[in-house]
Amino acid sequence: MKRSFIAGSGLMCALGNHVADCVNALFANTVAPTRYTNDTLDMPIDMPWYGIQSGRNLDDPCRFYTLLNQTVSEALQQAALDDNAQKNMGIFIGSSSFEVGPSELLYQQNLLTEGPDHAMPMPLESLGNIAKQLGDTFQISGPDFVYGTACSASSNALLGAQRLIKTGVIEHALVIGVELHNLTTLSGFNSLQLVANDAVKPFSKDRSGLILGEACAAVVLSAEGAQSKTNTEHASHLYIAGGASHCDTNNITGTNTDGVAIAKVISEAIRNANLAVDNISTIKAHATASYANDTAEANGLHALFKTMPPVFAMKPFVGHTLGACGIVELVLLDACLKQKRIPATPNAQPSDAALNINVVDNELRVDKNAHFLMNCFGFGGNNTVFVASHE
Amino acid sequence: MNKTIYIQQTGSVYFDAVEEGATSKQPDLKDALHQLYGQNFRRIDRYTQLALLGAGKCINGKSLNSKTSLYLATAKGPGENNIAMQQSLIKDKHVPKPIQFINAVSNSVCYYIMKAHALQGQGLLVSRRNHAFEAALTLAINDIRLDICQSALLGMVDEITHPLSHQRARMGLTAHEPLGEGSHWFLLSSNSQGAIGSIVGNERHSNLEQLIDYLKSDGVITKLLNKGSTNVLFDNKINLATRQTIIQALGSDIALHQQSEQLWDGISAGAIGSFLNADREHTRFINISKVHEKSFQTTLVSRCRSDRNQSN
Repeated sequence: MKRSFIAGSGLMCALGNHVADCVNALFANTVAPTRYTNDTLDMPIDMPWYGIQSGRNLDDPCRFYTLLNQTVSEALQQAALDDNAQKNMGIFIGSSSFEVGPSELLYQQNLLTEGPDHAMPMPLESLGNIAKQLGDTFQISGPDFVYGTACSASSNALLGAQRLIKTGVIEHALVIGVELHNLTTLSGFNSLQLVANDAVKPFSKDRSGLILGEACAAVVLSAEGAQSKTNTEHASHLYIAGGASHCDTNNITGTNTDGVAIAKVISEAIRNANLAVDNISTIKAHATASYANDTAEANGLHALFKTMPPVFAMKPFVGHTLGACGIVELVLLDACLKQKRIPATPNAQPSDAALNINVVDNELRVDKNAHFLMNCFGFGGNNTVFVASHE
Repeated sequence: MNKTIYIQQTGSVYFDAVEEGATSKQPDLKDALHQLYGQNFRRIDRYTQLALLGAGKCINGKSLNSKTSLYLATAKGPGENNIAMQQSLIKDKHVPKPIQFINAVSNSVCYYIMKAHALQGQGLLVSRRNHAFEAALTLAINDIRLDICQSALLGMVDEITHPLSHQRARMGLTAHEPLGEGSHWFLLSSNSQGAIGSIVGNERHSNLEQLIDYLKSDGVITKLLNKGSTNVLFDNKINLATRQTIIQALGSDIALHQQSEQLWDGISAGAIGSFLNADREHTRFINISKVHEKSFQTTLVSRCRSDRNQSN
């Protein structure tokens, strides 16, 4: 049974276009959401949004693939696997929107050239296209797996990779979370009226909802002992100890606010990692800052932890990156741990006394032998939690 | 560690595509769903109806262990729902309806199946450009072996989308190539009691030489080829010359599987289901898929001696 270590990572999000830029911006806490507007729809959009400043126009159909390839390239370069190891690695992708962005742009072009009666909607339909494209670009011919489980998608992709490494089916895995600009997601969340108007305020009494963010993140997971010997500069001491995924069928839009289902999946994740509740040193909360999600998460944590470890959140820095958030927040955690510190979580004060979650408001120093609980909860009752351990 | 994985039950629904302009239409599934579940499902799309129908037939009223995980394999998810939503948004400038949006992004199909059958394990929607079923099968087998779940409800769902000319164009098919829609399900576990079949192997091979070596290996010959007549399915991306090479390597009592269903994405799931339920001539089944430019995947299924006469 082999452990899975992070051998390389790549990230593009509102914080920057490389992992190093992102972690610097994270600690500086200088990035704020911009306004995203669209007045062509029957319900105009005007909301804050954490977009990537890539220099590429949002209307460019190649933007999606350029950003994805750049992120994967960063992760693969850091991992420095030999050709054979890279060729045989598995590809695991989590997303809620997949190629919907490029598909919308192609359809828009087709409407102009072919007319509304002949243009074909959803010209890019297969969910698995992204993995095929990455395999061709980076000459990876190992097995590929694409996960569509809403906001827990890339966390489930990570667990799938960790488990196939554990049983020796594969030795290396490229795990990706991708959620890039598309009108479907932005207009859909706008119509659900779940979006805050100013800032993400996790577990705060002033919280008013989530803010969407786009991101593309990748990690290379390698079986213990199989990491490249040349990869010393980027070597990580973080491994995926275990995790669990459950479906809470209480409600299609989210988990039960009583927290019972959340406590259950956290408990199983900790057990799967061969740890006890007391071993968890820090909690990276899902913390969307929506009323129901924060309530459910707080109740779930209180049901399990008699003494609550420090709780922090990443969404006030990058927004809610939906299906990508599991890997986005893991890459940020890994980068923080290399600096042996975790930033204070902004906007969490004044805290909501009813939730009683004291989010860290000072920078945390981190030692070795720490176990981080990483929570992700999504639409459709998709609850996924994994434990990332730092040795 | 290498537990044998058994197929406890199967369930299938399949419909040929009804061409536009024909007097009949694609069958309505609401009555069949009500008959099976004794309830009406409100605000679900046809894709979810197909999935519920197939999964319900597979479960067939059996009470499942709550530690059953769901693996729904799909090439494109809820196609009609997503197409309608994009058409309305981009062409007509209408924002998505909340339920339409949630159905598109939330893996709601797994939610409905798990709710209907009181399952609490993981509910994963798994895809791959080609052979999503084999991808989900790999994950299900691995999770059972790791005791992540005690049993796995595994299905492959293909939905017809309209107009058919667009569906053929998206799939790279020529005009008038036959299409179908189906929902093929399997209940897997490590428990042999009452099983109708077993997964003898589910392996990926980097190239044809590795595939041939595998098929000629002692393990495969002992477990499979020496034990009875074997039915073989090649996916349609494997050319004739390669098929001949593989058939020569098998060198045993084999017959090519005659696939009656017009499925493209879910062809292997449909074939394994029909092998277990309808084919009484052969005792073994090999599915051979081309998953990459050079790579292949084989799925080896054996009928259990204690075969029950189940045909859903």
